[in-house]
Amino acid sequence: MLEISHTALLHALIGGVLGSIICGIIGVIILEKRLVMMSGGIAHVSYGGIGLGIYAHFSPLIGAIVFALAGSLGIGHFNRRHGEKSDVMIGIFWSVSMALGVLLTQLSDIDVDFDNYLFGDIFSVSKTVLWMTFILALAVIFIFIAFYQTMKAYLFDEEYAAVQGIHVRTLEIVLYILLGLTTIVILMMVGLVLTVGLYAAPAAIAKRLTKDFKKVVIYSVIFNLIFVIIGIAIAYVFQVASGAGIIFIAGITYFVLTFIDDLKKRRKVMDAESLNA
Amino acid sequence: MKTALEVDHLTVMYDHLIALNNVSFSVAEGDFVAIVGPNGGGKSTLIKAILNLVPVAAGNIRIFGEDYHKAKGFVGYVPQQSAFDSQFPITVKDVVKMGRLPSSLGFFHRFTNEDEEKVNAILKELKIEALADRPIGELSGGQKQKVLLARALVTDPKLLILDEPTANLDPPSRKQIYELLQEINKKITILMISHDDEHLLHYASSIVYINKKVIYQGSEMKSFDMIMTTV
Repeated sequence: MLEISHTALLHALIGGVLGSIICGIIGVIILEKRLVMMSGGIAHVSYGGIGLGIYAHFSPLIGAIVFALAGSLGIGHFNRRHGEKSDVMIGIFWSVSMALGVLLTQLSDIDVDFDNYLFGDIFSVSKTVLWMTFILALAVIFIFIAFYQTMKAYLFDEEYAAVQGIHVRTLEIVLYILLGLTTIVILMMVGLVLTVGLYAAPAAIAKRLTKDFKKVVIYSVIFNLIFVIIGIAIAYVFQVASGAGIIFIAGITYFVLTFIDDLKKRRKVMDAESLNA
Repeated sequence: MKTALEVDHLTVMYDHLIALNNVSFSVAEGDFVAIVGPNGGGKSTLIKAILNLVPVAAGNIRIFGEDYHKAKGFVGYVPQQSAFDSQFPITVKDVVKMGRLPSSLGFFHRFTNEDEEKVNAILKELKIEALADRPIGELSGGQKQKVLLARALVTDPKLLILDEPTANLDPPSRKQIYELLQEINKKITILMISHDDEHLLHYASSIVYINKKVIYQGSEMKSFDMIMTTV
């Protein structure tokens, strides 16, 4: 890895903070709607767009956005129609689009550093991506606050929300569009292989710490911030891929907290048993 | 007496498979009607069709003489407990409040003092006010059922539709739910799916036995076995 400039570090920190806010909110929604694997699918689908951009000499970012949105809405459609059977469709979307990306990239006349796309390079985040992340962060915060009550009802009990006349299909489409765009931002930070980890781990940790939905979202954003900043520090100091450091710290924290939580639960059961004895 | 619900020659299909075939029956205002029948016989599909959750291939459904879009304000719904995520981070009070949400996207929706008062009153009426601040995931099956009932009742419905409200409950909890429903039925018409033969025959005022089509409808309380031997 080349030496990282102060500008690149500043971009990485700004991108990291904005990305953490987006990912913290969307991650909780994904976790509650059980769309974690779908988000992994979307990340991999976007690689087809990156490959097409490289091959056809247009911005790989545009290609990734178009493929991610199409993948998100397409997989979402299959998810709604076929329920649990949609995992087959996600798997096919995932691998075919990834294969297309690899084929087109290898057929192109440009020498591409795969590692940046696979494991992320937050230090190479451009101003365009930063602006995109900033606008997306504003949109996610606005939508989350504006539709907070109906979004909560939709996440808790979608069928009941539909019976009430809440426009669940509109909420779902908005969610899938945000998921597609967010995935691209996350992909720039941690790479497509590690996207699922950044969505799931901070939200899952937050859910273990509180039973209040609003607090789950706030904690999820805070944990995202902590992991991303530590990950950037690791990448900066050791000159390694940013995604690896971020996801490694997030994963370890999740496993340690899960272990402590289980120990506490086991101790509670043992205390109750000894009281009954 | 007014007709609360009229299902007229209803047919519902899933991918060319007939789920309900030419089903007709009506529910008079004040009735406590139980929908019974075998698994896969179309009971849940019938409720979903009434609630406009599945497309109708043929026939009509009228609630107090109106179609669902106009009548949805009259309807309270209690889904099966498996329909929602019981580990969702939310308190009992917030679940009940959801019943007061508007039928739209709820742009910057804020609950009013009237909503708060209504929620507190219904929690008190169902004797679950002490649970108000507890996360729903920490409740017993019977308590959760009362919370779902409170969410449906907080809208002041005229017709209450319940999908297997006593499934997976222990016998004392089942009895408690039926007694509560009997009390509610003094003011509200009830339509309920259940497999609970023993309690249904005691509490419901009439039954509709469905197996793709209506096999039996009447107020003579017969056990499922008797229905099967007489049809």
